[in-house]
Amino acid sequence: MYFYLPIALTSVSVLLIAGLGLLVGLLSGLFGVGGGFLMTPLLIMFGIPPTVAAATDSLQIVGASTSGTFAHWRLGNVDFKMGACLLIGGFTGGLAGVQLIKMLRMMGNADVVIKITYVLMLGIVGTYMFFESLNALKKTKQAEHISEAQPQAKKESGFVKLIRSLPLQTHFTKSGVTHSAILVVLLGAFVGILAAIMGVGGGFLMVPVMIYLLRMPMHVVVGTSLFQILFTCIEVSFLQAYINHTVDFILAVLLLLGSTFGAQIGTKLGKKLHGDQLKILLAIIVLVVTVKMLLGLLLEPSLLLGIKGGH
Amino acid sequence: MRIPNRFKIFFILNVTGLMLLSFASDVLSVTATVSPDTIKVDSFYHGSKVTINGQTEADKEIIIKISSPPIKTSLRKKGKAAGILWMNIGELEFHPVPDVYFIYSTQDINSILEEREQDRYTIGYDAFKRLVEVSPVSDDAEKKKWVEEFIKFKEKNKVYGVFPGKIEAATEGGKKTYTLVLDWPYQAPPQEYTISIYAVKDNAVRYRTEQPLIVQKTGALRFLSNMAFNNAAVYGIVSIIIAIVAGFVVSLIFRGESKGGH
Repeated sequence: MYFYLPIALTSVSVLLIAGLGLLVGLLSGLFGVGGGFLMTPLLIMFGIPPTVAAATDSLQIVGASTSGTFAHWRLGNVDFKMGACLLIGGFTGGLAGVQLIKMLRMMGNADVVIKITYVLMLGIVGTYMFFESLNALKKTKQAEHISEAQPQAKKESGFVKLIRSLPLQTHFTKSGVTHSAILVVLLGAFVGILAAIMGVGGGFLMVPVMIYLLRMPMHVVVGTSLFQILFTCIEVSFLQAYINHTVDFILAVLLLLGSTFGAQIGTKLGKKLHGDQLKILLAIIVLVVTVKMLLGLLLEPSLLLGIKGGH
Repeated sequence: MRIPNRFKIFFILNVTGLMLLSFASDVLSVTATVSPDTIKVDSFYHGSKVTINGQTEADKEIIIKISSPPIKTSLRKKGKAAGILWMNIGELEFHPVPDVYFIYSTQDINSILEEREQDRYTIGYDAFKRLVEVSPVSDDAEKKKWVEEFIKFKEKNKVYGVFPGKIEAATEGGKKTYTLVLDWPYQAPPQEYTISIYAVKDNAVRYRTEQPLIVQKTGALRFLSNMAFNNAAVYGIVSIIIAIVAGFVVSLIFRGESKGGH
């Protein structure tokens, strides 16, 4: 069964698109990532114009992350206070990032810098997460419980001492951590800037930031990340629909058919997996995407022309 | 010398009559029917079958060109950046190029139509390559390369193609009847297309006729499309609300399942 899309102006298989939604929704519920880094290239591969693919994906993420946030909230896995702080930072960082990218483009050759930054970030984050979770999995179950329940018990480095000395120290009950609100907002802004430069939602960057810099437990990370992604994507979807007219409602509905269910299944599946198992799975996905991007950069494409827009 | 008015009228009538006769013979010498002449694009549209048939004189070959109005098109070009990385390295502008360009013929174009005539009517890729301008390019070799890439890009999207021998023809009683059945691609955007039918002999176009083919959005599809462009804010807000509600509804379904399970 096929559906013709009013904005993308192409016909798509309902099963294929809903299947894609299911897959990405599953990842979203499992890992707390929006999945834009995976969905947008896949949609382009199936003939959706890049600008429509990126804009519609953000609307789809609104639905999937609503579903995922709600499911995680019921499980008590959403730290709203932390999410709100990160959101303030992310929103400000996003605005700054858009301006920064304008400046970079004016300086010329910015696209090379952006692409290399993107691949390097993905590669570093993926590799670090992979080895870190692998080591953690090797530890005894007892040791794992201690490291997850009391991450602050670790030996304090200079960096940790520095951030502890920052003002506005706030206790985030749900995450069981105490940080300066300024640090949380700044980290949110950092991810917001990078996300704007790379043209992605930033979930795959926000999740490692929450795990490794904010020392939040993995299950709370997933729920809180989804909560934050929900609001970011509402803003992006509206702007894309209002300014660029690139949101395809039918395409979003077809994706939502799969992704809202996928997010629920992912959440249930996530409950059955250990934090480090989740991390290592996400690390593998991030590394696969990195390799795919690297190959895309190094191998000559079959077509040397493309439609404007997208990532 | 003064020419009497009745001679003037006679002369004008004769010239007009000759013109009408010539026009009539032009129309009669190649006929065409397009079925359907309007393709309705609704939510379940996945392309359509289009049949073009007609008659011409027995000794003529047939060429059919289907195209949209030529426009200026900008595309991203990929190339090597920093010596090793393949990525977008700028934009190229192609002009004049239609969104859709199909050529069908009873025989290979180069064997039935000379270059000048191909250029005159923009029939075939060779004429297309000579007509299209590309900017910015440094020389003709670069222009040729990018026009070829442009054709490759359009062919991959199924909106360009040259198909020699695809038109079926039968001769009977001094008349040639031709039929072309084609799969109209869903990738061709809704707009008005022109179908030009050329009757060719001795390497030149002898007769020509044109028929429109209208591809238009209908029903809910048209409503959504109009809303997205004319009421963008409402479209955006409604889309977001529906996405959020969908997320909630599915959550509630799963909560129901969980409760039932326990």
